[in-house]
Amino acid sequence: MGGRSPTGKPVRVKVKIFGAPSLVLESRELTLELNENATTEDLLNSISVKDKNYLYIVREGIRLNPSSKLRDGDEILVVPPIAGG
Amino acid sequence: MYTKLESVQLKLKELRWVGKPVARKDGAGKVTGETKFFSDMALPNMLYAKVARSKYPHALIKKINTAKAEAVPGVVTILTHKDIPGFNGFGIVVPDQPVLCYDRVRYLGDAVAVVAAEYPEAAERAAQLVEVDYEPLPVVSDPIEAMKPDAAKVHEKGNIQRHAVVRVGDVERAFQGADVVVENTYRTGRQMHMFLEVEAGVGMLDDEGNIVLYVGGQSPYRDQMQVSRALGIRPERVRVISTPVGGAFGGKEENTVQIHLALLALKTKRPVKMAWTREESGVAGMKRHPMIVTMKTAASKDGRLLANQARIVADTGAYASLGPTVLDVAIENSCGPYRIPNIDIDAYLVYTNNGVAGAFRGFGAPQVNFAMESNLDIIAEKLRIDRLEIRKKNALREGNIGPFGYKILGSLGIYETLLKAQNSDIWRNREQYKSNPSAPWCKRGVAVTTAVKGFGFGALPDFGAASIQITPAGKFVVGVSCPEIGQGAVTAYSQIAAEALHCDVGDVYIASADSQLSPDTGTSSASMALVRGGNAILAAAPKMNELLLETAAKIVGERKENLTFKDSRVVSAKKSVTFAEIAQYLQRTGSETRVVAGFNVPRVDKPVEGSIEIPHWSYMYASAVALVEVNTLTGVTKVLKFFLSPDSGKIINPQSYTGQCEGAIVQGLGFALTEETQIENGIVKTNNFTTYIIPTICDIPEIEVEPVETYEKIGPFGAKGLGEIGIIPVGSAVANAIYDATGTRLNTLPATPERVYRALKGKSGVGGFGRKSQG
Repeated sequence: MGGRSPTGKPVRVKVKIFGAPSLVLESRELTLELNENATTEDLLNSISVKDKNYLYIVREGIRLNPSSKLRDGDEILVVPPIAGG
Repeated sequence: MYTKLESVQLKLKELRWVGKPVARKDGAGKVTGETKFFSDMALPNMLYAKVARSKYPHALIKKINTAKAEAVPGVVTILTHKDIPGFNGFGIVVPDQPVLCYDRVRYLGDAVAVVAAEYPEAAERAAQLVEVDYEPLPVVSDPIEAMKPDAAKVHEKGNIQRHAVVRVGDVERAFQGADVVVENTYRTGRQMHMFLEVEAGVGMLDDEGNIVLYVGGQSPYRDQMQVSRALGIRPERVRVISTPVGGAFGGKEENTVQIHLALLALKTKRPVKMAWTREESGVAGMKRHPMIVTMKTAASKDGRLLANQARIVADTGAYASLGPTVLDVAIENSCGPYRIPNIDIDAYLVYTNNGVAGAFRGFGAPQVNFAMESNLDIIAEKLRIDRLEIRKKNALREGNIGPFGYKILGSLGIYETLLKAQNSDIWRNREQYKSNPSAPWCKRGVAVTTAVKGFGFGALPDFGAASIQITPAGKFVVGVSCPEIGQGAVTAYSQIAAEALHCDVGDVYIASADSQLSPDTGTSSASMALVRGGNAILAAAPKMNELLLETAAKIVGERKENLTFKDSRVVSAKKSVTFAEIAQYLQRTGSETRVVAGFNVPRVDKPVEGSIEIPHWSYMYASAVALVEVNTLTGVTKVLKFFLSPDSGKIINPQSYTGQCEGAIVQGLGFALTEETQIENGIVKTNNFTTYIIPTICDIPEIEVEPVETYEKIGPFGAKGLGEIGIIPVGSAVANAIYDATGTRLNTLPATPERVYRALKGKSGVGGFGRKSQG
């Protein structure tokens, strides 16, 4: 799902992954190439993270749904739920 | 009580709504009692829920038997840990608290079973009849003892939940070269939130079997996540609605009733209501972290601060909740808003069986502020420097490097707030006020202190979104998920939206805190609801304006560039079209009428080594002046006057601003003088208003609020946060004023009459030290 489609035009997305806030705070950055109809769910299936259902996938300050389509050039944050003061 | 408005109005005269005292949209309903909170909800066919809680502060669970409880007439269901389909735990930062305990209880508030019944009385009786075989364990009640290797363990991994070390420079070298070094240990109390509305909500299923929760919380999306994780379902299957809330102050940031209500609604397929009693809130609810702070501070003979070393021990109780980040804020605020080149902070978050501590307005800052501001006054006295001047000398200025080695990026008005304090009535006339006590045995004192706190989550990733939809009537529905918890967010959002959308403030409706109607704007916490929500609205408004202009251009047949906005209309030189006409055109043509936009909160790439979220991008600041009178016969301290000058950036609504500051000051007076949850060997002794004393109208002093309006470039219309800064300097101001009055310095807050009296009598080990030098 997350791999490049042999026929479609790929989308390149930059992903910043944040770990559990109490443990790892520096983001891991990577660039993924996904197929043209890739969704956030495809993105999550392409990376190694825990508790995928409960992570926040954020583009331009907006949380995306699992079915949200990704766009070429997107910068995506993968963030665990955080609160604090 | 007033806020001086001249400067506000001068600078914002070109704005129509922002900076103006727009009446609170939720005001009339709340003051007349017409507003219905979730604890007021009653639905047909509704069940009542009650939690069966632990009977021991620390024990192993051997067996749970619900047979007798199930036999109570009216009981519909009783759930235990076996009935949790997903993850049996919650905690936003560290999910270490069981939804329903299975092998061990760690405090009296721990939930073992949850009952749903036809009547509240049946639920209550059944909860009492849930039989649990316990094997009591040693109670861990002293955080210092809990840190020792041989202490009984509250959690398998040990009692130190987090140990953080943050160092800058070389404190030992600085101590050696200093002219004065002061070291003392300070203790602060376990303050309760004591919101008017206790933890409450109603859970039910919708027609498709999805969970719907009406619940008093501080973030519908965080609640949604925690509920869905416990139920093992997708978050989209949980809808959370969290407005209005009858007070929160951080105490509803964590899960309280949410997961239990969802489990019961799913099981019974009926609406279920749960409202904790006041006593239950006192036992099971969150508290402010009590802290023990040993602080060593050095200065040169001209009053320049050279070094600060602190060892902070925070009692988080049985579970972590938001404690790890509270500890960070304590570290970050332990050096005040001052230039200090050498820092050494060693901080511990420690598990005990003393309830649970979590988020509370100030989030770790009031505790360490008491230590720093006390040490600073002692240094000033030793060096014979005026207490206000020493603060001015060390206050951070624009372009300075902050205490932890980073450049202060946001607007910075601490020095200006000190100038306001210097010019305040209390400070200018302090000798006159002090010379006129109300009785010969009463003594008066004055003190000035400062405060700082970042707003938002600092170096942690943070973001927020808002939606704007135009209705056929040409009005706007603005979706923001930060709940209205009494801070005035709904009104402020309306003002910002009306300004950006060129309409009347009455034409904006805020669809607040509904996970189905409002995009995720984050939490109402960290003094951030205004900045995050306001900026999200300002990100969405240009999209809506563009839609309006494009549509109007089609309607009037003119180029978009020739059109402009005027009073809910789009106009050209010759033509005009109302927002309502535009909306109806969009509807007729099947066009999109809603826009969504968000923004990522600016943050540094990497936190300070050893920390989670230090630094913040921008900070709030304040200076406070207190006038107190101490009755030396009884130890009773009365605060007569209080002055606060906050720097919270530009003011969006002066009325709400003053209200926030006054509320914060009064809550701070509770922290300073009376509020302390007494827990003895794990047993809560003060769980209602009879034994836990909060300030009443009789205790409220004359309050003056005079803001310093800096322009914060990352805030909406230059605004920063406000909610927490007002409470932070109150405890230290009162304690230092007591010293100024009596010559006896307290090292423990609250300064209860007993503590003050015994300190005045020179009793050792009771919370006081040091006698003021004569002359």
